[in-house]
Order: sequence, then C-alpha cells, then structure tokens
Amino acid sequence: GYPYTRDKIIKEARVDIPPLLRDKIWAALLNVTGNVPVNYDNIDKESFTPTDRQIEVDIPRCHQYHQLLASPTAHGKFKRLLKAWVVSHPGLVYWQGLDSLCAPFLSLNFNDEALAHSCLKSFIPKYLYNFFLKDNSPIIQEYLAVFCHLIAFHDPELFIHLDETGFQPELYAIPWFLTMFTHVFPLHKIYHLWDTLLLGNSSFPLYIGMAILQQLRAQLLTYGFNECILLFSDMPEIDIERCVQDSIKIFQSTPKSVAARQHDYRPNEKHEGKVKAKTEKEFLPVEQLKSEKCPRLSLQDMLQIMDIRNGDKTDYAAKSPSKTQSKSWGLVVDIRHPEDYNRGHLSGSINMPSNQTFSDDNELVPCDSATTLQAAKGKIIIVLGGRANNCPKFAEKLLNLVFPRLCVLDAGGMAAMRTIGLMSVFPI
Amino acid sequence: MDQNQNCHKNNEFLFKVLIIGDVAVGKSSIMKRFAENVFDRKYGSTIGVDFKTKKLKLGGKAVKLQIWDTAGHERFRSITSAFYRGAHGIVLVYDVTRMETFTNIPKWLQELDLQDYNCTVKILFGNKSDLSSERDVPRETAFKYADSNNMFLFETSAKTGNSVNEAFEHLVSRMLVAFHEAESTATKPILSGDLSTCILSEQEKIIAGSGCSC
Repeated sequence: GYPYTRDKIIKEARVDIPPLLRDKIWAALLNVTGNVPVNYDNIDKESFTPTDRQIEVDIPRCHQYHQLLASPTAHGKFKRLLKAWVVSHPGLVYWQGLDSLCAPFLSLNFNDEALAHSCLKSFIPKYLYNFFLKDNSPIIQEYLAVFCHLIAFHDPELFIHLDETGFQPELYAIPWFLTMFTHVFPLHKIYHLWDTLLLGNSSFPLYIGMAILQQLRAQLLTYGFNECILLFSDMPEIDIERCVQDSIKIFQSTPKSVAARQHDYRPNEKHEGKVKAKTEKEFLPVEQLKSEKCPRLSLQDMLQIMDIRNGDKTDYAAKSPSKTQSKSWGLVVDIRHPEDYNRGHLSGSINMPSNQTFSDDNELVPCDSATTLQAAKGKIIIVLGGRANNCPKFAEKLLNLVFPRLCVLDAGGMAAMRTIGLMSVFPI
Repeated sequence: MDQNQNCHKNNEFLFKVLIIGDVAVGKSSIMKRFAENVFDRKYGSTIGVDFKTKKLKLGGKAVKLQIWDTAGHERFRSITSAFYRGAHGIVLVYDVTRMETFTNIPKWLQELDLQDYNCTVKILFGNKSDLSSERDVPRETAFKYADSNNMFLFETSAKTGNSVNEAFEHLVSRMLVAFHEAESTATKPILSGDLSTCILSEQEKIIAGSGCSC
C-alpha cells in the first residue's frame, strides 16, 4: 500500500483522478506521510494568537457560495486548520489568501481535518516556497519578473502590447499565484486545475498563468489599460480543460532554466555542499531581471536544445556543423565581433555582430545570417556574446520584431563553453 | 496638465479614486455597489488591488472614475502603496460596528501624508450602517472627528446601497472644485504621478475618440 505504491498512483493520476478518490490521491501526490492524525492532534489550535482576528474576518467571506464551506461547522474547521498552519510555521506568517488556499483541501477532506492540514502543509513549500514570509516582496517580485519573461518567450506580440499598455502582472497576477488560482476560480474548477498542477513542478503555476493569458489574448490585444484591468477584476469564464492542456504544452515547450527562480532553491537540498556546475543557471539580481525583457538560459539547457552532449567531445566533433543545426530545435546567434567569432565559436551558430545587425529603424539588415534567422523563426533563438556585448538589448530588439522563443545565454556561459572545449575553430 | 485642460474643454474628466481602510470594513463591497450596483463577495478578501470604472454626469460634466480597491491587510501595503500614486480622491472606510477600524483612520491618514497626499480630496465612509443594533462607533464621535479633520463623512451601507451614490457624488463634486482651483491658481498640475500618467494616456485614446485632442 501507500507510500510504497506512490509511483503507481502518480502514473494513474496522469491519466485521470477519480473525484471520489481525489482526497487520498492528492495526499499521495503531495507525498503526505507519517502519522497524520497524531501530528495534527499535537498542534495547539485553541490558544489565542495575534492572527486570530484576521482569520476570523477572512473565513466568513471565503468561497461562501460553496454550501459546505458556508456552514458554521466549516468555519470552525477552517479556523482550526489555519491556526494549526500558523502555529506550526513560526518563520512564516498568515497572509490573506491562505484562507482561499486552504479551501480546496478543507472541502475535499471535510471529515478529515488532519489530512487537510497535512496536504496544505506539503503544498505550500512545494509551490509557494517562502511566499508566506513576513517580507515576501523579493520572492513575489522575482516570480512576476519570470512570468513576464515567459510571456515574452511564448507570445511576443502580447508581451509588447501589455508592456506598452503598462498592464503589468503586479496588477493582476498576485492573487493568481499567491493563492494558486483559488482566489480567481470556483472550487469545481480548482479541483480540475490542481489535478494537473499537483503532478507538475514548482514552475507549473507560471505555465497555468500563461495559459490563462493565451485564452484571453484576442481580447487583451485589443484592450487598453482600463479594459485589461477590468477584465481581470472579474475573471472571465475560462475553459479549464483547455487551460490545463495549454499549460502542459507550455511546460513542454519551455526550457527549464527559463522558468527557474533563485528563490525556489531550498537549502538542505541536493544542491547544498555540491559545487554548482558551470552549466547550471546563474541568477540575476531582481532589478536586472526586471530590466531584461527576455529570459536567460542556462548552458545546460542550451546544450540540450542544440543536441550537444556535454563532455563527449569526440561524438560532438564528429558531427558536421550543418548536421548539428538540422537536428536541433534551436538557433544560436553569436553577436560578437566577427574577429572574435572566427577565433572560435560554437558549431552551428550564426554570427550577427551587434553593431551590424540592425538598421537605424531597428529592422534586420539583410544578409545571409538574417535570412537564416528569419527562417528559424519559431525555433528557440539563443543570443550569446561576450561581456562587452549587450546581449539582453540585442534580444530585446529581436523581440520587438516579434521573434518568439528568444533567450539570452547566462553571462558565464561563454567562458564555461570555452572551459569544456565547445568553442572550436571551423573552416569557413 | 495639457491633457486635463483639454479634457476640461470637452467637459470630460477622469479621476482616480483610491479606497483604503482596515480589513473587512467593506471596501470592495462599496466599490461593487457603486460601480455595478451589486452586493456579492465571491471567493474571498482582496489580494493586492482590484479595480472598477464608473461613469457619471454631475452638473453637466461627464466624469469617469477609475476606482482602485486595495487590500486592507497591512502586509499588502508594500505592494498596494505603489498604486496610491496619482490618486485624485481618497475614500477612507471604517466599519461602524467595529471601533478599532475607526480609531485606525488617523493611521491611514498618516500613511497618505508620508506619500504626500496633502492636497488630495479625502472623504470618510462609515460603512455597515444597516447593522444598527451592532453599532460601536457613535455618530457624533465620527462626525466630530470628520469635522475637525476637514473631511466629509457619510454613513453608508454597501449591503443596502444606502448613501453610497450620494457619498461618491459628493466626492466627485469636491474633486471638480479642487481641479478648477488648481487650474486657476497654479500652472503646476495637482494631478501627478507616474502611474496616473500612464493611465491617463490610455484615457486619452478614449477621449480622443470623442473629439478631444489631448
């Protein structure tokens, strides 16, 4: 039985989660183990805490259209659950929204408060790590900046429009993510959405957010600031099944490092103690992250996209440059000076010197490389260059020409490539 | 300023109104009652900011209000205060059935002062006036306080709709007066702030459509 059958449960859950078993399956997906009832019993849910007042005003307005949750019994359970969470997380605090987040677990495990509590307790560190810190603004700011990058990556047209309109995610997406959409959708939609979310990683909510925008993109593109913000003030009808399918597609077509966040890294995880590999994602300070319009890509992801096996030089060198390019689903644009490029570059990359690529009106100057780039539209385009080149700016100019799937290689990527012997001189 | 003068020529105005106050005093309900004439509470408390618009005509002038509803939970203030900028009017709300929400009003005013809202029109709403049996804030105390702070007070009920429209209309008339005073006495606009500029520029398009060149 569970937990030994967990892998099997996950496999089955990918196909479908039967509503009658949802409570147990969710607990399994969240890896809830240990003596759940005893653990819950041991928490003091009765003594006064300064948060009580806030919890008391929030509960009577949380998902009250739901008959079960509107009952006095439910309010009592709600209060105990929230108090139990607050008491057992001394480093974290109650933020409004935690009540909404609790609602799916309470309604599912109405007669098993202990299990509802364990689920909430496992859910938050997985998807909302440190979101409930007293000062969570660095976490939220990074999260929203990464969300912006995802919009730019997948839908440059929408990104440009929203950016010009000034309709920034701070205005609409905080309740989406802080409550994992429980503040914007009714519970029956949340069950459906979370059935998939719980199978996804900690970046999955970002893809759901992207899927919501995609479903509304036709309207958003014609809307100005007021209409955009009004649209999300009362979340319009969203086809949740479509949203689920779209978010899976977006997940599959997003390189992992594009959605990676510094604040998602937990101490005590396998990363600790280990020297960070040179190919892993480098994180930028949030201000820089916000100023750059396109996401950064780790070298690791680039090697995977370009189908280059790291450390296996013989295999790699055996490939002709054209073969590498045709097999991959990306295009590497090296924006260094041609002299530097000729001294050594990645096989299959094209050279588009930053000072020669764009005309005065920011169009592409016609040349062979520009033709190759145009033909690669839709592939992942990876901009790389030395520290002297402004790669983010270059990517931004391409973004304004409505190139999708743009990203910039991590700043240390070039040096790391040299170290592992990927910068080879090829006959021209 | 140009845009406002132009809008004025056309007798069209856009004002940004901010609703602030303690948790669960009924800020969102007031906004919904005024903008859509409904009373409902959906999935929970306000997280971050919410927003509605409302058009009205007052003394032959067409006014569009852009109403920003903010989270009452103080933790959200670091997020919401960015949206305070550029407000022309501020609605301070307390709950007549909870004294502490009233005694916190000076704290909210202080918060505004820190952000230099001295010249913004402010109005006080004592909400939940329908719950007369639970009243905790005496009328006299509240009106005395409002008087001494040069604010108008309306006791409102978002639930029944009582006095909500009147209170907003009063706010609008005061904002129009403030606008004309500023226009006649200063070259500097009273209306300023980055965010409002970006919103106004959006509004320009709407106004431009109706024949205003701003």
